[in-house]
Amino acid sequence: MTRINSEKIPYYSLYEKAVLIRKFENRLLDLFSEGKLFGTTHTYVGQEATAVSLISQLCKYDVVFSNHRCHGHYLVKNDDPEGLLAEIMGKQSGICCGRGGSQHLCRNNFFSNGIQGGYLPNALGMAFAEKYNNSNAIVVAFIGDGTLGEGSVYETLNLASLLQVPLLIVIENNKYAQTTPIEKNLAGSIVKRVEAFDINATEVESNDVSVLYPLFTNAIKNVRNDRASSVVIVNSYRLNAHSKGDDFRDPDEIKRWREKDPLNYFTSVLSDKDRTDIEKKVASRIHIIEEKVERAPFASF
Amino acid sequence: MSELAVEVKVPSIGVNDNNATVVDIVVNEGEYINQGDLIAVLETTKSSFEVESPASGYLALLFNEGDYVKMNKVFCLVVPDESQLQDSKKAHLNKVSNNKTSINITKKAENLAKDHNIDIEELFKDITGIIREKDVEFFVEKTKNHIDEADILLTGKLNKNFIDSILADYENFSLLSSEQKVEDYRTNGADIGEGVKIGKGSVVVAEYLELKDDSSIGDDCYIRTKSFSMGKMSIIGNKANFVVNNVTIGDVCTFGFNIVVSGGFSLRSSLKIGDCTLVSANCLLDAGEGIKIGSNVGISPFVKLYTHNHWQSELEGYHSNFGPIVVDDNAYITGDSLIVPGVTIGKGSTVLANSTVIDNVKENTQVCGNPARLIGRIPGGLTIDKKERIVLRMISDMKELFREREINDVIIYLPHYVADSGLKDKIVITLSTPDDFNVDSIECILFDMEKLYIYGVQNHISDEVRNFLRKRGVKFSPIYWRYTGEKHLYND
Amino acid sequence: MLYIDSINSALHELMDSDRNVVMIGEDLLDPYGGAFKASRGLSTKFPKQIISTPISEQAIVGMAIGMSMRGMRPIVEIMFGDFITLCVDQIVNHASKYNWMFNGQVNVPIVIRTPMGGGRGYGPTHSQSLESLFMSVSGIRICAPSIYHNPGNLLKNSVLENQHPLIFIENKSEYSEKLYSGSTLDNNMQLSVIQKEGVSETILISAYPNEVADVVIVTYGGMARIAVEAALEIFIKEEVIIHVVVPSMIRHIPIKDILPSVEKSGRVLILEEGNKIGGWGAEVSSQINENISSVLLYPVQRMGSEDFPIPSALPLEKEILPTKKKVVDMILKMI
Repeated sequence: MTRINSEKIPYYSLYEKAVLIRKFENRLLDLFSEGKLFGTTHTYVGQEATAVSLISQLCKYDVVFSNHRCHGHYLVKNDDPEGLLAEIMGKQSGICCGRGGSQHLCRNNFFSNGIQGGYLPNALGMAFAEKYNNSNAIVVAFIGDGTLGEGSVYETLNLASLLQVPLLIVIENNKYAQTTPIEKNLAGSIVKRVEAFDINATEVESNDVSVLYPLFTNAIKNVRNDRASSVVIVNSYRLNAHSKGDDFRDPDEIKRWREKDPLNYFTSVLSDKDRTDIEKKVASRIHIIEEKVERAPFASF
Repeated sequence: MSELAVEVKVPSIGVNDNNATVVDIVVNEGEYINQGDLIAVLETTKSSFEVESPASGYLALLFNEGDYVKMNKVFCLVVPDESQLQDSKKAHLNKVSNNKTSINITKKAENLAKDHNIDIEELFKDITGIIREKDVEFFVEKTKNHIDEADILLTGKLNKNFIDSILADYENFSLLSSEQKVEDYRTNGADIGEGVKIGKGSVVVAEYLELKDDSSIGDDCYIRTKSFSMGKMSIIGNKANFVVNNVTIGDVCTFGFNIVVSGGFSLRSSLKIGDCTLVSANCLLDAGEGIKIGSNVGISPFVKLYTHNHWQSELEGYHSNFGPIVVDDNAYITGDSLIVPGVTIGKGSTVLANSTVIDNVKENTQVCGNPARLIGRIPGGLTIDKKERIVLRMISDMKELFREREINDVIIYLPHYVADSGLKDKIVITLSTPDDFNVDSIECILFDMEKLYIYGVQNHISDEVRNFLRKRGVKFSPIYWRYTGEKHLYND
Repeated sequence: MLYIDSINSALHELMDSDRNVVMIGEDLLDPYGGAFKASRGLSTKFPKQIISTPISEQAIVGMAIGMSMRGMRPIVEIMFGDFITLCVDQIVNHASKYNWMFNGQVNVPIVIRTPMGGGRGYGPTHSQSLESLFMSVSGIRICAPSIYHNPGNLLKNSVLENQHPLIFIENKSEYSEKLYSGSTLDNNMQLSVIQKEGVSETILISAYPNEVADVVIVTYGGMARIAVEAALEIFIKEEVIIHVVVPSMIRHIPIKDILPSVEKSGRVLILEEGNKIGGWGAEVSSQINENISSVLLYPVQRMGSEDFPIPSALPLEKEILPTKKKVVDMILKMI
């Protein structure tokens, strides 16, 4: 893995994106308590580094397929907190006019669906189509550690290896599938699973964009150039509950990971002033959007 | 394709016919014809039509005049080369006989053929397809007329000189009194019963005339037929107009005023009506191809029955339509409806107001609209319980209606009648009577709702009851009155 | 032309006309050419457009979905209709929903071809007719051509014109049967088209289409032949006139094309090969009752398989599956 000069990493914009995710998700939890959201929501807090490092390096015509925990991915692919908030609040101006809600999003080559592993073959098919039609695009699919229980994952890996399509699967291992720790769910090793299908697997445990950004640069480049599949496993942690109120994890463990909060890693590369500016800008942006969306009309047919 | 013989099929005309007769073949075997030339004229029960050649070439005929052919089947062949005539015929007949297994004969057709000693296989040897009872019927009845011989009146032959004298001095004859006219007709050969009336200004010009007891013809009627027969107690209203070959009317029928029965004097032009039928005012019956109306039929005012439909020339490509109309027993055709040639209105069916009926109406169904479509069915066959419930409701409605006249006590319901002195002078409504009871010993006035008879002495209250029931379709026709004592002639 | 040949030549035409039409399935390559030979010759002529896959029904349908979302026109062959159960999640939670829940931003025009039907002794897991499982899935179409339709044309319409996920039900027993073209069938019944629009073609078969039927049989797919044979037999026996109405699209049910015949006749029998309980007939029956129950002369009748798996031995199969004899007996009861 070639080391990228850390000066080439756009920390400023990455921090902007990460803070946007953080503040948006936290605000969602408040709104949920106020009863203003439809359905439940699965927040991405604590995993922002993955999304911002990877998706910011994708082109407009690359496809991202995500799961129920998709807000972070969405906000980096489409800088559209307004559409997302409107969708979750059931407004007509939402991304899917209120039809999809938190888990079922679609805009500008971003897709998400709520069935674990179900969309992996869809992502495979998309990658196949891109290769078949000689485009340069790649397809990135995000799954979690819990998803590895579904058979469709292995069917997809088998086919991806046989068909050699530009599919990048990112396994965000946050060590818990809802309330079940990974040790109870996962036999053997993740890397060995992937390599059993002759697919290249990279594993990393980090919340540091300085580590993740160059890693993803390589991963993307390889998939795009080789037109072959690859898997990156990012070991991380979510700081909030699976959805809302279903958190029974050891508080010490949570505390330890809070010290490795992805936002903390920016303190060494951005000045205090920059960070405060960004935080203020994002906060007021979210505030304005919230006002606007709250006043917007509800969805109707 | 130019090598092959062109098959010319019998066009499919008309919804009811599967078959046609070859009436006229206008081209000879082997002759050269052009595309569009007329080959033959065929005829169905309703109309005649033509077969034209779809291609130019030499004609290979497969049928003769008088033969019978099926719709959509091959009628003849047109071959591009004269030398192919025999071969193509052979090839076609081979194909047909090879497909012998593709002919299917229904059991009913087989049975009918057997009954009439028809060899089905021989009859249909050049035909492929399904042979059904209707197809065999067509052949069996091909030469039969539409009119039963028995219907044509041959008694009451009027003296020709007498008729000539009526025509010579029409107006004066018509103004004679009813008694005088009746007497004149009777003296000159007509079969006229007792109590018959012929109204002022009315004249019958016919060869055969029969008017049974108590029948009457209203004022200003013009009846010009070959034979005219009217049953007991039948009435024809004022201003009726009959110009048709043969009229046979049953008992207790009613014709309203302004009726027009047309049709001319061909053999098929006839009107036959059963008993207890009503044809209301202003109806138009074009009976040129025969109209047969059953018993207990109700026809409301302004109904039109047409058996002819032609004006524009067939030489210009227009189609003509002819066919007898049959209205079966108990049917009801309501106001302003129109029935087109060839239609059969099935037993017990109803044609709702202002409908145009272009298809046969199945028994016990209701149709409505233009064109008339099925809108309902009467399942019929009500149980005794249901009938009883309906009768009880009628009686309670009756009592309600007659309340102010204090005749409640008079009406009694008995499911099954038994003689009882407690019933003297009462009006008894029953659903069944014993077969052997003595009519003369009856002390009440008995309405038998099942047989639709009335027994006993007639009075104004029983007339009210009869009228009330009539308005609910329960008709006690005069021919079924079994009154003791004096009878009123009261035609509903 | 045989049913299977019609499918095969339609596939040839489709792939020839558009390189985005691809077929995904198991054992498709020549010389085998598919379990029922539907793909015979295709991998030789269009090597890039035939993708023969491992045994992964869920993934291959999922893959087709993804491909269709990027503008391709994939056809998935599921080798036996019984295996469609492995694809249910993809059909229900992905294909049928993407267009609607994403507010029309994507279409999923995939065609899943699969042969259903018994009568070949293949046993309980290779003889079913499972299409009725999908009746209540919104957003999809189901097309089931009979030998009286043109399956090849319907397949072409399904792939090129139709924009919904579509399940194309073929019948393995009908594969080797002759198709009927033209308006008069061998047995002298008449065939007429009631309504034809894209994938939906409803036809009427009767010896006497212009007369009112005593009973209307509404059926589809492989049962159409049995219905027509029964209709002929009953007419010969009793002169009972039957109209057989055969839609090609069974979801959505083209009820407007079916009602006029039923209304005029007053008696209807709905015939399907799948289980009678909760089957296609239940939906058709309800729709008929909701519209015209007042003119029915007899309650709507349904016939389907008995509530058991399909056994392998032929005499046992005949007890479970609908047969011509059962149809004839049922009709005679109705009149």
